[in-house]
Amino acid sequence: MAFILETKDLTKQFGGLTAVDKTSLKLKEGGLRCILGPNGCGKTTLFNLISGCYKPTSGKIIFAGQDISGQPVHLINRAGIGRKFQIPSVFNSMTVEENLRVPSSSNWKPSLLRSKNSVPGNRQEILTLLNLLKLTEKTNELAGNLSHGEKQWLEIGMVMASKPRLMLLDEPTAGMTAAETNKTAQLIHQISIETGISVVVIEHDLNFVKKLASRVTVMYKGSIFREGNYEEIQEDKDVQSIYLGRKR
Amino acid sequence: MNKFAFISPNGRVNIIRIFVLIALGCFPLLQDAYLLSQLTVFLVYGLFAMSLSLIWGYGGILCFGHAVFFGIGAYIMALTTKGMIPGMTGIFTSTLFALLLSIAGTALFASILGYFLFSGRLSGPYFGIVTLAVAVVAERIATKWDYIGGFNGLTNIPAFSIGGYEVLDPLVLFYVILGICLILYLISDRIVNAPFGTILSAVRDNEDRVEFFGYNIANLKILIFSISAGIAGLAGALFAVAAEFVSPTILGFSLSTEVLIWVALGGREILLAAFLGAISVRTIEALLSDILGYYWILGLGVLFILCVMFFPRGLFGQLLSNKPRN
Ligand SMILES: Nc1ncnc2c1ncn2[C@@H]1O[C@H](COP(=O)(O)OP(=O)(O)O)[C@@H](O)[C@H]1O
Ligand SMILES: [Mg+2]
Repeated sequence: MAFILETKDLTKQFGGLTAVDKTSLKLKEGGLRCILGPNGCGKTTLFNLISGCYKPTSGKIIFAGQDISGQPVHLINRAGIGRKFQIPSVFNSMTVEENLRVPSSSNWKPSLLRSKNSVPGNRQEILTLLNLLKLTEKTNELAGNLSHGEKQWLEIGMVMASKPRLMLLDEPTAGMTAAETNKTAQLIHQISIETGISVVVIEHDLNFVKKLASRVTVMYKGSIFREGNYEEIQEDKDVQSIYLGRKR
Repeated sequence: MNKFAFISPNGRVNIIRIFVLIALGCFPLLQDAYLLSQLTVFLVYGLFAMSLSLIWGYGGILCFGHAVFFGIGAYIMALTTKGMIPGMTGIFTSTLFALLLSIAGTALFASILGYFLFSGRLSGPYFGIVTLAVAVVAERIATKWDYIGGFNGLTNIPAFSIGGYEVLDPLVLFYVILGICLILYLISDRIVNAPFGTILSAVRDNEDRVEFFGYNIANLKILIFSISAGIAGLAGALFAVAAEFVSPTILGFSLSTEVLIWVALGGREILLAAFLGAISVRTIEALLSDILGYYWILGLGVLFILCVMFFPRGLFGQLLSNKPRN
C-alpha cells in the first residue's frame, strides 16, 4: 500500500525546546487521520514542518514518494499539500467568491491583463464548492463579515479549491458551537469520502473525533504516544491520564 | 443606506469616471492659460498618485520613497532629450524614446531593488524605511552630482515632440498628457481587475495564506513594484516636459510624503480616487496657499487627520468603490 505521507524521525528544536521529537507518521493515500493531544504538544509545529513553514532540525518528510523536507512553502503546496491554519485565515476584504478564486486560479502565474470574468471552468467549480460549504447565499458577501464558523468553512473550501492531494486541517472546530462542530465533522467526512483527498485533522474535541470515525494518533510532548481507532484510544488508561483526565 | 441605490455600484462608478473625464476635458474652456499649465502638472501628479495606489492600496506594500521613481523618470527624460547621455544622439534623443527609456529604466531599477528587498522578506515598516532611505540617498546624489545639474537641477528641457511635430501649444500638451493618463488608467484598471489583481488583493489581506496556495510572493511583489515604478517613472518624465525643469527635490523625501498624503486623502484602494486625491489637494493648495501661507501645511495636516478619522477609505474611496461595505 502506497503512503501519501511519511515522516521519518522528524525533529524540530526551538533553542533548547524540542517541539517535535523523532516523529514517524505514516498516512495511506485517501486516508483520514486525527491528531489528538494536549496543548503545546507539538501538533501545529508538525504541520508547520510538513507544509514547509519551518525547516526540520533533523529527519525527513516524504510526500507521494518524494523527499520534500526543507523545501519552500509555495513549492510544497504545488506538490499537493494544502493547509488550513489554526486561526481562520481568509481574505477579509474580498468577497466569498473571490476568496475561492484565489486558490482556484492556481496556475501560480496569474494573468496580468485578462478580465477576471473571462476565467472559464472555475465558475462551475466555485458554485459546487459554495453548495458543499452551504455558503451559496453568501457568495457576494465580504469574507470579513462572515461568522467565525463560516470563515472556518470558507477556508476549508479554499484549501479544496487548490485541489490538494493531502489536506492538513489545524483545529477546524476551534471556537465553534456544538451545532457548528457537528456540521464541520460532516463536511470533513464528506470530503474524505467523496473526493479521495487524504486528510489529517488536528483536533481537541473527542466527540468530533468520534464522529469522524477515523484512525487517531495521540501526540504527547512532541512524540507519537499512541495510535489506534477511537474506542481503543478512549479506553487507553495512559491516554486518559495525559489527556482526557486533564481535559475535564 | 446607499443613497445611490437606484443604480448599481458599477453603474455609479462608470458615471463618475465619465464625469471626471468630461470635466477634465472641458477645463480648457475656462481659457485661463496659467490654470491650464498648472492642471497639466497636476494630471502628472495624479498619474504618480495612481502608481502609488497600485502598490500601496492594491498590493498592501507601503512605499515611503516613491518619489525616487518619479525623479529617476524625470531625470532620464531630461538627460535623454537634452542629448546629455553619452553615445545617444539622433533618434535616441526623441521624446518617444526618452519616455520608453524612463519607463524601462525605473521599472528595471525597481525590479533590482525589489529583488533584494522582497527576496529578503522585508515587509511592513522595514520595507517603507528602506525605500525612504533610498529616496533620501538619491536626493543627496542628485544634489552633489554637477553633471546632472546638482542642486539647481536641469532646465530648458526640449518640448514634447511626436514624430518631428513639436507640441508648443499648452492646450495640445494638456490633451496629450490627459490622453496618456487615460491610457495608463485603463491599463492599470485592467491589471487590478485581472486574476493578478485578485491575487494582489489577497496578498494585501493575508500574505501567508496566499503563499500556502502555491504562489511565489516575492515574485508577485517584484512584479507589481516594477509596474508601479514604471508608471511613476513615466509620470516623472511627463513632469519634466510639463514643468520644463527637474531638480533634486522631486526625487526625495518631501514629494514622497506628499504623494502618500494625496493618495491617503483620495482613497488608496481605488485608482481613480488616488488620482483625484492628488488633483484636488494640489488644486486646493494652489487656491489657498497664497491666502493661508504657512497655515496651508497646518490645514492639510488637519484635513488629513479628519480624513483618517471619518473617511478611512479616503474622500473619494467609498464613492468610487463597487464593493460592499465592511
Ligand atoms: N516559532 C516558535 N518558536 C519557539 N517555540 C515555538 C514556536 N512554535 C511553537 N513553539 C513551541 O513548541 C511547542 C509546541 O507548540 P505547538 O506545535 O503550537 O503546539 P500545539 O499545536 O500542539 O498546541 C510549544 O511549547 C510552543 O511554545
Ligand atoms: Mg496548535
